[in-house]
Amino acid sequence: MKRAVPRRVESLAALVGFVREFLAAEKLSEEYAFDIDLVLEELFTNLVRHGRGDGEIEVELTRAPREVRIGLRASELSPFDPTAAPRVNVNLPMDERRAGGLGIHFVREICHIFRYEWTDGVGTTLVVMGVTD
Amino acid sequence: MLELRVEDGGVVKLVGRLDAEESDRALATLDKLAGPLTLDCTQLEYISSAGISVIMVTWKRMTAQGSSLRMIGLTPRVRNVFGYAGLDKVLDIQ
Repeated sequence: MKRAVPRRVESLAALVGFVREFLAAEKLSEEYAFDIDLVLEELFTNLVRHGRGDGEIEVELTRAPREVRIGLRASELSPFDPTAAPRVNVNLPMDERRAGGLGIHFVREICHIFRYEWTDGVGTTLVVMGVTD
Repeated sequence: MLELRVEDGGVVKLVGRLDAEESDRALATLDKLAGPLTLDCTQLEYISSAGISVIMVTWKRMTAQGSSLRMIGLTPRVRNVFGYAGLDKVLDIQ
């Protein structure tokens, strides 16, 4: 299933609805909604806040055997590769930690595949998370 | 959609979703409150990194003031997110 939404944080509510439509269509348990919402929000807001491009962002959710694939496709003036984001040290004491930077860490925690490619001004992020059939 | 219910005794009940769309409003509300604070998360359905940032900023403000921040009633899924962030062992989560 595909859905294109405006490139702004206010689109998150529409994406939450889209995820519920996908789960119902694929007869997947609502228990997967939380992690799909989390991965999608982190990738989407990262692109909205830090990417250099305009136009809508296309989100695609695909069911595969024992997997859910989440793709984001957007026009970008130059490559904006979330897989290159530095790793966060989550073992530091609180007074040495700063707020922020955790979103891509969550994606890495939940997804076993995390890829990005940029071709002719279009960036595509693909992540894959496991589900039980 | 997130509702913050400020109750007696420094208790703030978080109801709904603490995501990137709601995080600025949540922080603005919490910033007005003096400590110690207890965040009742019994009805907090969802939290993302934007929400975690709100909690971290509030924790740092409380600590700098010599006060404290406590969280209660987290659902297993919300607690998982704190676990991913390595915060489940350093924050006061009950």
